[in-house]
Amino acid sequence: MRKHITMTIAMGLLGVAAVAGTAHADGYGTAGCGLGSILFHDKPGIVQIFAATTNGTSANQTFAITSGTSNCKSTAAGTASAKAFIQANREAVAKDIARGQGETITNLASLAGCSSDKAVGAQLQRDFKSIFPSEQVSDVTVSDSVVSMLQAHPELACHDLT
Amino acid sequence: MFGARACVALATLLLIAAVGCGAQLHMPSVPDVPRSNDARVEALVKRARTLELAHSVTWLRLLHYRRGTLGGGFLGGGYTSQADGPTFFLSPHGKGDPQAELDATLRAFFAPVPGRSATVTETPADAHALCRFPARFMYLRQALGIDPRMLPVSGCPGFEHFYTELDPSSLTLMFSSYYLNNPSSAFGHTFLRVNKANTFAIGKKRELLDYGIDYSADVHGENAIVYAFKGVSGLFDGTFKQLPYYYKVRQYNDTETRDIWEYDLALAPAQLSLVIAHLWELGHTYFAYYYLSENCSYQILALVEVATPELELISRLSSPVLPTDTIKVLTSAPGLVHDVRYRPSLRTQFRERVKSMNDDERDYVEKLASDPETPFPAKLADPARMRVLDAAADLIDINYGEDLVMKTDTEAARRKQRVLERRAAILQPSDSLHVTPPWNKAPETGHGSARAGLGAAAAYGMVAATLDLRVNMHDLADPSDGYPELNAIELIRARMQLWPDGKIQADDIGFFRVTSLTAQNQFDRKLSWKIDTGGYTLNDRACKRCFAAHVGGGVGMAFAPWGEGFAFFAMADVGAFYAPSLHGLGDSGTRLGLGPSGGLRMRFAPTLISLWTAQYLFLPWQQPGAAYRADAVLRWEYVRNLALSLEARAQATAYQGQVLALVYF
Repeated sequence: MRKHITMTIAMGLLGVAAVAGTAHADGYGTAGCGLGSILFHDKPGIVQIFAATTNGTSANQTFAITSGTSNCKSTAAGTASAKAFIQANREAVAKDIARGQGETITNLASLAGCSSDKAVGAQLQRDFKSIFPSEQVSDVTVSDSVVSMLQAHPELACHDLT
Repeated sequence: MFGARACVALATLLLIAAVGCGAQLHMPSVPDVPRSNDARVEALVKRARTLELAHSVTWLRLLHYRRGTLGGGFLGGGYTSQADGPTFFLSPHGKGDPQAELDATLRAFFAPVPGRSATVTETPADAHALCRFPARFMYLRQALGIDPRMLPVSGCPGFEHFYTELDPSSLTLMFSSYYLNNPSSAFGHTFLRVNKANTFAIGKKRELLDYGIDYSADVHGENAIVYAFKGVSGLFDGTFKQLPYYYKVRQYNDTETRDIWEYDLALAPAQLSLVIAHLWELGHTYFAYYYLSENCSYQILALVEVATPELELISRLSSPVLPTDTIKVLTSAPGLVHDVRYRPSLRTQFRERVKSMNDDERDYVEKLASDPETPFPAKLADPARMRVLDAAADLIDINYGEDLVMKTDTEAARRKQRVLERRAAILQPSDSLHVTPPWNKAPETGHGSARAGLGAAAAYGMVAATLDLRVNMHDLADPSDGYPELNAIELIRARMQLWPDGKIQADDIGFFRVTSLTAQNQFDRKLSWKIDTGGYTLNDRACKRCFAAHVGGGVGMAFAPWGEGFAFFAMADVGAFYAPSLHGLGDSGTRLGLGPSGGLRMRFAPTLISLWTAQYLFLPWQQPGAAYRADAVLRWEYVRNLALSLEARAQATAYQGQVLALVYF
């Protein structure tokens, strides 16, 4: 019975998949742990739609339970994981820096071991134009700049950045 | 905080306390479930048999045994494990024999550590059964009172690294809600969040640094047809993944603009450790991934269930398993969920931002999102400018989310950059945003996802008995709590009628039916659309009381100027019908039509909804030239999950009235 229902539904979804559209382009210019290269990598759009419709969103092997240490996987305090965080959260980080506060600032301040997320927010807001000189800077460059900014201000006391 | 530390200590203790019991065991090198020379080990095996541990709830769950599915238990009471990775079993008969697996596990725990490891990434100890199966060990140690000094392993670097990285203090089950405008999120998704012990470092929650645990299929670029086939027939391997929670937030909250509901689980430290240790065991194996039954929601629940032998969770699910079903099972289990929280999507945050604005401010938000250089009048003060710029940045993200993530050299990226530059130039922090959770939309408040009904229909001068069945999930007249207000999705529904003249008639069959309405507003011009595959009974001059298969769809606009409780919509429809007796194109059985449709939905209360729809299709060069259908429904859920439905339909040659009692389950 279950098999029957399953197959029937499968056929139906095939029909929908056909209507739903074609694959999106696979042009990722960024490296590092950016959202584009990590989450949307290696999956044509149609497969992604089917996958998620049926609860099978797939993440890549970086995140296997047994894969051990990987920059894009670690959320322990430190420079590498702070950079990975900035790359993956780039769009939200940009907004929060411009706003001088926000969830990504709080979490970043914590990853970097800074003493006050409020001070970090205020400082990065002042540095917005240096971090984001144009929209074309890559995720990796943004992450390098943010970390340099934090390091350049000893009063922020971001002790976990090396 | 204290509890969290205690639980880390507990897990490490379990494995590290075993110092000093080196290779005093001398195992014969027989590959097949060797008996131990050590009488103490065989005594444990015997004791486990006496206690019938192999058939205890926890053992059966740790090994993912199910009764009577295909395989070992095919013809009766036997067990088969759903795990498919061969290394998950220490006995060659382990997949079908809980007792053999338990015997083999106990013996393997006391086997000497191999001299060198099979792979470069792990130490010899990591490959030992104690390090591979820490949850089995936790359970058996407690049940049998194993003396840690007997054990041959003094530490498990791989597992300890994993545990330290997760730094678990509690578990939260996450539900990423459905959002039909994005077909990829039609049914929602569940995953687990492992909350780090140390997430309040500087006085604020930093949950983005927690870990998300996902169960998903490993897909390697198959084409869609192969993909779909493999997906439903279990030909993909499903594995557990561990990724920083921020990836999940960015993907679901931002890119897909889905709200997330969070269910904090009340687990004691020992239960939590058991789940995490079991996750490590599962991380080394895989399961056949069935999209509709043994899917992400199922396996995540199976993982949690390991720690709660007193609760029945998985056994309360029926196929197909929807993410919402697992949430309902979870929230109805006594004492398991101690808190429910809500994380608004970017779209919800944006709505909150513009809610309190005046018309001028809203206009600036709209203008800035398309022309970021729009000047502000001098009278607009800084706080208002900040509010407007903050909302405009969110609006650009909502409209071009994936584009922004994928490329940096686009018009959208340029606009966002300019808006943010202007915002950063005002050197003040924005106020943080607070969104009140829409509790009546929490998934566990929704009606059951399957539906059945009995009733009577009157038409053609007769009265018929009506039977209504739906596999899942929701239409626009169903009770609205727990579901998106203006979205409907139905998978396999059938309404059959038995008429006194002996005719059994398929009144309305829906194979896959989606209606996604988006109320037009200043910031959201998204079109509304619908798709229908199935069939229904036609009544016109060419085809009286005949059932025709139907594939159709429409695109248009919806409006809800006074709130989502009162919405109306208009669409342009196309439809294809097939019945042997139709005088369609070239006098064949195929009819093609196009024309307008419209509807009106009135939600008097979440439990009392009226839906009026009509469709008029021109049938060029066909008989009868045009056809219409108009429907009216008034549905009242008088007790939770029980509803009365009054329905009427008009077609060219027949009118029909129906009354039905519906039960959702």
